[in-house]
Amino acid sequence: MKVASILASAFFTVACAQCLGLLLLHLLRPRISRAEQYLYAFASGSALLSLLVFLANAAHLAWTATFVAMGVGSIGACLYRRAYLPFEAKLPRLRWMDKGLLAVATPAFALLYFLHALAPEASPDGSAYHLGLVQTYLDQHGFGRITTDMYANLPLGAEMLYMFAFSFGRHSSAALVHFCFLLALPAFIVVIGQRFQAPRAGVLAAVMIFLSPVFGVDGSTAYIDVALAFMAVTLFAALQTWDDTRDAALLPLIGLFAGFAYAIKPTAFTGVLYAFVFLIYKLVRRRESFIGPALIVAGCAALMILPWLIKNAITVGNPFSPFLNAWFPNPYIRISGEESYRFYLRNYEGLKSYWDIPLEVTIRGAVLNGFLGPLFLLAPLGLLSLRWKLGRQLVLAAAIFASTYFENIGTRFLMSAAPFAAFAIALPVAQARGMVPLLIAFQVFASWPENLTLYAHQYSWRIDRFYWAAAFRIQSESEYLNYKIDGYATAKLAEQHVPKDGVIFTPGGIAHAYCRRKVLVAYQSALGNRLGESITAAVNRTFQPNRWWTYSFPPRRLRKLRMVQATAAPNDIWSVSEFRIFGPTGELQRTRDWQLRANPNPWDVQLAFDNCPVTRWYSAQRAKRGMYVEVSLPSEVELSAVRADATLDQQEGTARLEAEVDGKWIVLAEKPTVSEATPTRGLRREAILDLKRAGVTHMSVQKDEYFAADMATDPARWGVTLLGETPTARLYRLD
Amino acid sequence: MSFPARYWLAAISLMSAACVRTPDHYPVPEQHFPLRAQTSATAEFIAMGDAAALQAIVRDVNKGEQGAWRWTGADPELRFTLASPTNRTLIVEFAIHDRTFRETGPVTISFYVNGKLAGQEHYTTHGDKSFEKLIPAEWLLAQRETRVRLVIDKPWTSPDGETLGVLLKRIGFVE
Repeated sequence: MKVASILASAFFTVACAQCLGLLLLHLLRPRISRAEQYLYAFASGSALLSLLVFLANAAHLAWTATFVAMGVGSIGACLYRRAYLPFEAKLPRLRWMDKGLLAVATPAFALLYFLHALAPEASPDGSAYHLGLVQTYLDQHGFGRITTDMYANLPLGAEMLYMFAFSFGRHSSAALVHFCFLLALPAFIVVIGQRFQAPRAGVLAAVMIFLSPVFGVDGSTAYIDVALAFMAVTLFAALQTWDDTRDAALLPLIGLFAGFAYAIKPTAFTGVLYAFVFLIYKLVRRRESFIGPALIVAGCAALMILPWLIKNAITVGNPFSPFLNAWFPNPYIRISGEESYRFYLRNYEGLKSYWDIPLEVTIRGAVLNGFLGPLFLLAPLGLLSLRWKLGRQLVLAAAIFASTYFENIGTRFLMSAAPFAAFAIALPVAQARGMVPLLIAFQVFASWPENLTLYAHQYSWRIDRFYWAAAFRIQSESEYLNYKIDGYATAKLAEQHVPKDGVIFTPGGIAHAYCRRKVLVAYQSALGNRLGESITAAVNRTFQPNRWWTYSFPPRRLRKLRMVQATAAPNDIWSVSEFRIFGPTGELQRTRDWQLRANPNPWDVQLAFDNCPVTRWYSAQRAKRGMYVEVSLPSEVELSAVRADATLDQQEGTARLEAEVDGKWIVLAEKPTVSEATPTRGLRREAILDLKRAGVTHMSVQKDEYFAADMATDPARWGVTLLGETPTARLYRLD
Repeated sequence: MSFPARYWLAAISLMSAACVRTPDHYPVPEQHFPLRAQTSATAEFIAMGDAAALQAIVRDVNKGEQGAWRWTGADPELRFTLASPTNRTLIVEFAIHDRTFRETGPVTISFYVNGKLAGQEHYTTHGDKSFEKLIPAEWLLAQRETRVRLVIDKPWTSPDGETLGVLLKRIGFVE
């Protein structure tokens, strides 16, 4: 019954998308063939359905009933308008040999992927945030205002489709929707081959992609990369077809495809640029006006892109969040957090040199999470395709979609370029008699699950066998998920012990798609970063305020004081744990009428005045001359010293002290006297209190976290109570 | 081609939405950790590298050394002035030098606060050591001098006759 429900949900979603697309094509009537009609319909319908689900979320109407109405409405309209009727034009037929190659090479792999998609969703990102966010939005029936999860700020174009399916059939139905993109992708590659007189090359490229291990495993989970690759191929096909036919009906589709590609993943902004430049270049070359076509494409692309930008602008003050925070400073994502995250994506742990990338992404697959398959080692052959027009276009498209690869060197980030690379390899290879069947046979052998370990790393990301029992729920979901993902047991433990309004803080993440509680992950927001630093400060002396920077000056009456960073320190992120002001009789008691300012990161300035040793004002970007922390007293007071309590990671004494005298800032002391501070005790408890003040009620701690053993040994010292543990993590209540 | 004014207005509205409204200033927040009156040169806890260390030394700590460490003799004593006597922990951070340890072997150190024995520890290895002990409030007096004394049972005597105890790093009271 469960399997039937999953299959029906995925089918209903894809049918709804297909019908919406068919209706659009019925309206536009582009001059395309019958085969292209259904593929374009799937692409454009997916974009439209994603947009409709977005609007439902924005209006807080994300209910199952809403999705039923959408589905019934679109399917009904399609039937009523007879939009399902096939177009008349047909592409040249494939030869029996090519059909035979496809028929032999692909069905077993399709079954392998189908079973993997039907099995409970166990992918790392799918179970963490792709479906975690879907679950959250469904629970609150709309987007709400999530400011503590950077993944919520990414465009979620594919996830909107997953939400539609998830609302009926839960996790596996979302993965099956992605699986449909995996089926459509090689089909479209074959169709491109047919249209542009390279059918055999198209068949080889389609098999290279469909049998590629990373496409298989990614496309049979709730990831989004295969959907993006499909949209990239669709955009390419639409542009090349428009170039051939100058059919204006294709222009709205081009905009829609480019915009939806961005809505799936922002790295596809290069696809948007590609569409514009291609279009304008072709029109200018023919001395035709490009304004009208460009506006149509822009309008349709904006239809898909702008909703996500507006959502971010309203929610977190940065349309391009979680990126470009230096351009749009905000309290929700730190500039330093973004830099660290991007550094992490550019430098995978375990990769010794960039020269290892070619072998890692083609045959090893452990460090960069997945591999394309050994045939992609032939990529240099793709340059031979430059002798044909189609080849030149393929190489250009591959270069454009791979151009953002070094922002994230994971294999998945090559997947939108891989279909073009595969086709470019296949074009010259297909000229040699007998080579296509030979390479397809090799690809089948090399991609068969049991053969992958002959060359790939044993821990590479791949499908290792046919998951019959898990797919048909002969093996229970919990048994399968406990075997596949560490975080599942932890998520269920949290659901068992944490009340529905509880908030769980975790340094490393949790399988959020299986835990219907609010989860705050340390690396996913400025607040998470800050709370993680409080925990770190509790146990690591380097991040405790163990240095005093004391600025002494002859007693004088002053009202406004500030510490100003005097030098740029590219390796240093400036922070002030406490800013204390002294008069002749001791430290001034702080009062509510003090006015506090800081630049940058003004939102955290209170942390330098809260008398809490585990918190600090943090510039959240590399130290620059002119950064300051400022305090205005309500009236002039006789003062003689200022002391900044600083952590040991600070470059010593880089700030000077200034005061405002007669409306001008003057230097009171260029350099502080740096001394050892009185050690502070009880910081573990202070850190937990800091978390509680932020609304956190529970903590889920992986057993390999740096403070896990300390907390487990003496939970009372922290002020937490152990509620339960799994083989990999412990759950605590904050007391 | 002209671009109607309403489109410009819409674009400007969108861009202005993409800015977080930040107040001109923030007030002092709730104070979280118990605030205690402190001067900029506290006499509650000192590091040997601080200028205040010289005033704190009563006897048997080398006043001529500079830096983070000072040699003690067999019976060093230091003075402190505490703002409050309640909930005070004595912390002594020091090191037993491997050169002296080779000849003296394991060392027992007694820690006294205002003449009362706060603790006695037997150290069987050289290297960094730390002593911590919550001191009963009745042993201490606010704003009065508090004396801390260490008695080292087996000091090392150098060939030139100098007696060396431990390398003292930081000492004093914390809350």
